[in-house]
Amino acid sequence: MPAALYLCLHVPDFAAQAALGAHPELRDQPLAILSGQPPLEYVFGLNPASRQLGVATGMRRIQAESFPGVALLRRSRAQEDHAFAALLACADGFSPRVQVLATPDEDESFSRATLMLDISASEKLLGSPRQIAAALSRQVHALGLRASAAVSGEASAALLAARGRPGITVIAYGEEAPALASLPLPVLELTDAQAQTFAAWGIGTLGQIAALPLKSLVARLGEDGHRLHLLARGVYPHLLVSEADAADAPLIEHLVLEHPVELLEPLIFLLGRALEQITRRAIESALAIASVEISLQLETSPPSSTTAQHCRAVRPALPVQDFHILLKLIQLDLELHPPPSPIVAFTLCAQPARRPRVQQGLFAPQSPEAGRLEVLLARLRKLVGEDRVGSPELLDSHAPDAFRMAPFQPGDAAPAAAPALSAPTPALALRALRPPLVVRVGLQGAAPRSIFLEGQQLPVVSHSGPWRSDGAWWTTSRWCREEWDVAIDAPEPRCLRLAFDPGANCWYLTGLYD
Amino acid sequence: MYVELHARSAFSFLEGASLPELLMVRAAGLEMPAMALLDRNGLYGAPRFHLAAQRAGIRAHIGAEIAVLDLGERLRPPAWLPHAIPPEPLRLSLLAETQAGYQNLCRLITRLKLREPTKAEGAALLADVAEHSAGLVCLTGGDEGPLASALARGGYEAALHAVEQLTHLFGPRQVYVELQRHFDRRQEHRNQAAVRIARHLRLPLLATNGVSHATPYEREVLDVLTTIRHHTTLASAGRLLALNAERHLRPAREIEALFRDLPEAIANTCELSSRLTYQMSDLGYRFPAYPVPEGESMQSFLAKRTTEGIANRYQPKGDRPLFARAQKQAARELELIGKLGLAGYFLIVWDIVQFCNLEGILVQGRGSAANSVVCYALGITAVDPVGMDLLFERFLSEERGEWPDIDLDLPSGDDREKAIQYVYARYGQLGAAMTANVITYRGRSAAREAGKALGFDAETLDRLTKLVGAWEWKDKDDSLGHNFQAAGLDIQHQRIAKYVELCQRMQDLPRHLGQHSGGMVVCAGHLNAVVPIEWASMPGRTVIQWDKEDCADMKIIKIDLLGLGMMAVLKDCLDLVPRHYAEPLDLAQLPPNDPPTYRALQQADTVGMFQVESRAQMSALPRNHPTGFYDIVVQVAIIRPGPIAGNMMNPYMKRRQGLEPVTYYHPLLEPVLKRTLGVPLFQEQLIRMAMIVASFTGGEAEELRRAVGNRRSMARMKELESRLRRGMTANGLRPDAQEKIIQSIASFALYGFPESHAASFALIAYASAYLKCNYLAAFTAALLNNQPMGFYSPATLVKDAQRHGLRVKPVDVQRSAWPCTLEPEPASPQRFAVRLGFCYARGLRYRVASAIICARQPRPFLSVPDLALRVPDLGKPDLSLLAQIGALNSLDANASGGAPRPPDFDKRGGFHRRDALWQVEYAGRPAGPLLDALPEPDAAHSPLRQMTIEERLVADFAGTGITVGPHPMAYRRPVLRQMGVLAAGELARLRDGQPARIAGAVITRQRPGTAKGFVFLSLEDETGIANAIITPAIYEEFRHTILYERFLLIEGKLQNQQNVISVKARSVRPLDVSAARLLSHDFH
Repeated sequence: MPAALYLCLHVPDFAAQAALGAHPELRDQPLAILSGQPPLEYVFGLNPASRQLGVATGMRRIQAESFPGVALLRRSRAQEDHAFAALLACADGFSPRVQVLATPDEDESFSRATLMLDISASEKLLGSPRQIAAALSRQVHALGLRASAAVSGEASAALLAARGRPGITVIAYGEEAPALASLPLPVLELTDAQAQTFAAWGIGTLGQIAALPLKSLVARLGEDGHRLHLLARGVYPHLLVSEADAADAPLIEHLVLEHPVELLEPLIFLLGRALEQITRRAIESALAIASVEISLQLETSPPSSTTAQHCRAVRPALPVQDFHILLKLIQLDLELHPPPSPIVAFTLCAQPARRPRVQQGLFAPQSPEAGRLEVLLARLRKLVGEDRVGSPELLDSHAPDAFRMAPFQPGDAAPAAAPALSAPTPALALRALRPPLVVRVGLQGAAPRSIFLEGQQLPVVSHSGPWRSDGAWWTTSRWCREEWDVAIDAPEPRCLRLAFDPGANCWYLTGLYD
Repeated sequence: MYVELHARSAFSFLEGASLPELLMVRAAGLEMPAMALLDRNGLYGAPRFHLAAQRAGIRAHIGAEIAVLDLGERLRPPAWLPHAIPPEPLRLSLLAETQAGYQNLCRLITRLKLREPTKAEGAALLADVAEHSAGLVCLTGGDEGPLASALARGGYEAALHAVEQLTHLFGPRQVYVELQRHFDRRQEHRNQAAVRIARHLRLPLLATNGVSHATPYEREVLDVLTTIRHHTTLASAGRLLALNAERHLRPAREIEALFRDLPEAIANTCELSSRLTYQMSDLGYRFPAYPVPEGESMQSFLAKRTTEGIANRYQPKGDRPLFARAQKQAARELELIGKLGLAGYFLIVWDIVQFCNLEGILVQGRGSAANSVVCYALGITAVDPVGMDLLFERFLSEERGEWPDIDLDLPSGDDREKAIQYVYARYGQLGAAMTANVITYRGRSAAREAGKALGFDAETLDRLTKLVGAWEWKDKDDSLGHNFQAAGLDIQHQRIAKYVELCQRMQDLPRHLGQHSGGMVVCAGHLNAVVPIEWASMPGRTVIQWDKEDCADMKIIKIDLLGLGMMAVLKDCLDLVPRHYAEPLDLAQLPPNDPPTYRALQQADTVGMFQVESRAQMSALPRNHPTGFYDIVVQVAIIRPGPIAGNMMNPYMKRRQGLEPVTYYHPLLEPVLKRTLGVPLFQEQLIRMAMIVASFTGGEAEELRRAVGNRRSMARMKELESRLRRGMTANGLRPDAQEKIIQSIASFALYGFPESHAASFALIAYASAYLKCNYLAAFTAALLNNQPMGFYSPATLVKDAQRHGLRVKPVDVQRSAWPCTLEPEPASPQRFAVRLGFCYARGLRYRVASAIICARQPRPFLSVPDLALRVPDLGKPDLSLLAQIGALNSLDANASGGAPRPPDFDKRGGFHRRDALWQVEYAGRPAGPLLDALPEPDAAHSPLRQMTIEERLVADFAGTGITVGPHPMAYRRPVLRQMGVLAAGELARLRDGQPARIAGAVITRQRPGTAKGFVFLSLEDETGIANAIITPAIYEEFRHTILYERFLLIEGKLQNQQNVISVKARSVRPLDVSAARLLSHDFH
């Protein structure tokens, strides 16, 4: 059996590099990627040129702007995901066994991607280890990514060398320790406590750790000491778990279309074929699909966006194995959010999960099947709008009618008892009009004198108010409202609730008292 | 006509948005004849409200909202509505009708506050209210009151019952049914029930607006304060926030229109206001009498003690005319003291001084009390006012009509606490308390809290608050907005603009009640009937609800028991010097003209000395060239904003050096100004000038001095100024001389020192200088043991002491005590070195250090494992800290428990810090009791290399803030020489005007308010301290470097003016010397 050989591919500054894919004209410029919500955006990713200028991660936008010539871009998860998928595909071309060691969205403070490839016995097929590393690097470079690659018979040595050295490193068998000796400690990704201990000991390189007596180190740092010593010598055993083997590795289908597809129907047909493949793969592993992300490559980028991609995701309430249900959900979602221009390619990325096992109560009422319910809810969302399906939930706010739609989740607890109709409860019931009716109101001073409703002028016989409320003064969505309760005699005696919005200078009929 | 009778101010701490003064100004603007203030559980804002009312010419009614625990919870939204309003006890709104009512209110608040075990909001019990209900009027309240709560809980019947309960508690005449209209539908429902209840029980209705802010605009600030109170953000506060902005002071016509249907509710506001006869001008405060023996009056007792004191003080001096003058002055003072009825006050202060003397606590009066020979005779002050010809009128005068102010300086720390606890014990828990200190929102705190309210993340908040400038000098660009822009925020952004605006509006609003540094109030009878008392955050201390300004305004006498770090140093020296040097030390008998002491003062070699160590003092000392005690008095007084702003310093220095003739504004002033060479430097001189040139009486002149400094009495000042001018004209002074005199009065009446105060401080300054020059080791150890104090960090103090030949030894587990101690030098037993104490090992707790000291008593530690085994309290972090700072290096003798040392042991530097660290990691492992004592098999040596110099420096400063080795700059000297950088000690060689290049660690950064935006830096190197002057333009150019770099290289032009050397910077750049975190004292 040939000796094992590993190639580790490490892409630093992944966010900045991925962004350059969409903005190749910025390749030679200092670049900073911003994350966070305005006005508190902060620098998340950098390229070496901007780092050299003094820009640092964590800086605020306005500080980064003060560095001349630094291009600032918003972080695009979609771009990063796409670039990562391309990187993965590229690695797949060199080895069937690829393990993802770090994904770009793994850490919120910095961005990188690391892959480990098992290239054992690939020499005859692809050339010497250096040639393989060079070929892979070239391909990755063609994707617009700058990566470091390291090859070693020890996966840990390859990983540390790739993290610590730019370019290509090939470590001969048995030469791991000397090859790693000069690498700095951060490549080991130590805990804070470990980093402090080594700093106190004056240890700054892997070689210095390797030179420590193992027994003494273990006596001090325990099992971690053993692991770090092995790592520093590049001989820490590594069991490569390829993505294909991993239970939770996403299932991906990618299709480049011959002609741009404009209509949804043929697209759904193509998506259906891909989805069927994916569900079949999941079923073969006794898994179900928990979510599907759909990335549609557009022929032209829409004016509102800098990327030529349309990304959607569907997440059924429970993982499903029925691809028809998934397809229907995708179809309904795309009908609700159609792509803005013709499609030239698409990627389906499905997240597999264990099949749900639900024990129904013997006396529990029959509930609809989860998949069907999901489709029904999707249909409803398509009909009435996404934020109008679920169960209403009152908000902690003085704003009138402040509520939101929350996913319907009936609790186990018995429904709260209705408030007792004791004295504080008003005897009148209000029938609220939603949406409120815009009305014209005749005024006497600030109070309503008459209402123009359905072409009739209805004189107000008595009124009380105004009842004033306002809020959100610290935002642009500041609101203000004056309410009046009025009584009219004609056409029949009624009590009405009127509201005046001073911002819009508009009167509304918001309810009728019964 | 309408009177607002229910208003909360910002002294309801985070429940009101306007200061009491602002409420009163607004009430006056609305032509209200009176107004009431009801803050939550306190009378915190009452004095300010009362005084503002006096100024505005309207009546102030005093009351409070009192939380009552057993009356139920205050109104909250129903359970089905989502909200985050926490349960709180409901509150009764009480107004003081009579003095008895006011006293009951004070007692009630004190009772509820002191019932809590520590400082807390607290709540009264119904029984307390019943006990203290006399003289109080109760309103049924708004949302916080019992009616609203009962109505929501149990409907009309419950509400009726609640109001009935109030009438039983307070009496039917004392309860008003309150109506508020904030345009809230639910509130109107309550109002209708309230009207029914009032009709049913025949109680009067009362309209109020439940005011929480003076104007609608301040509602936003109220909302921000609400979020701070409930630890939330504006976005998630929901129903905690105000429903609308209607809780403001309304004009009468608006509120009359609101209550058009219930005119009696408006009329009753005036009726109730006329019933509330109590005004705060009648507090009923009396200073306690001093118990004297039978047959004696306090006056006669004081006279006897004074006579004894005069004899004790003056007879040993052997100067009969001085003795006679002192007796005469004492008689004059005693007569005035008797006339003003102040004998008890003097005796009570004397009593505290007696206690301190008995307990061996150093005590010395400061301030204008030193002008009094009675104080001198009683041992309260240490300066001879007759010998120094000090002006008694500065201290006490018949015209002034207020209590004199005696401040006592005590050693900070335990001694001062003893004196404070003595006062508590003497006058009882309800008879004495500390004065409060109202902590208000300032730049940084406002920036932090407003940012939190708006939901900014922690990192942004840190960045913002760090950048809010804290310089004394503010240039025109130094606004909050400018600072925030510098922090990287776009102030054009709507949210940020709102943030900046909120920060500005929160300035000066009260945040919480702190404790004044030393002011104590005592009272005859019960202090808790005069002002509410509550717990201070410090255990065992109580505090009144008013700050020292309020106490002064309300004519409550305060005795300041101030902690002075240098007094603690002197006290420590009194112990260290006789113990180690075997020489007696009596601070009252120090040699008056010690040559080394004056030499050090003349050369401005004054690091660590009291009052004369600052950079400004150092630059003035060579020019002043002190040769006698009075020169030190002048030196202490001259570096003050008053003399500097009044342009007095330069003329004095020139005259002192003979560069300018001594002249006087008028020949009549020669006797007054002769001692200060014709330049007025002391407050007493101003008073005397006014007495001589304008024929003022002593009291009038003192009033003039006070009026100048008081912004509130502008009208009075103008009147006095015109009288001054008239008097000077009558006495034939020319207009230009008149102008100069008025300018000198105006410029430093407020900021100048009284001569007596300067003399008291000069005594301490001389003592500190004498000790430093003669007992350097003892003085340095005492200084290091009483940090933080003074102008310089311990690191600078150590370096200065080392330059003066003192050896400072590092912390050592085998030898160090908790404080720094003296160790005899082996070569010369009369010389001492200072051993750093465990108190300098950052993070090491006193308990652990004591355990180390205790464990080494029987025999020294043998090794690191031995230490770890014998001191189980020592955790791994402690061991690691001690190893890093070299405190375990002395364990080398038996480092391996007798095992043979490796052959290269000595070559490797012996047993070094890393060896210790290596062993610490083993000794500190969680091995369990079985394996704990198991020695490591091959522990003969560590595989670690010795720390480099840089690593040692970093470890020293991180672990102790001090290095006892060479200064970091010393290691770079060869390179610096090549760069043409001069050491601080070499600058004297250069001529004035020559270009110079200096470098060093920044030890102070200053931007004084009097220096027009100039920044002064002190750079320390191994030879001393070099000073740099940064012009505003250079500051702007190198702002970041100047503010944040620890080591600087400065190029510029050398200025050498009468041996005062500094470099006027032309460029500033950072210098890469060391990563050690040297600290700088900034923003003085």
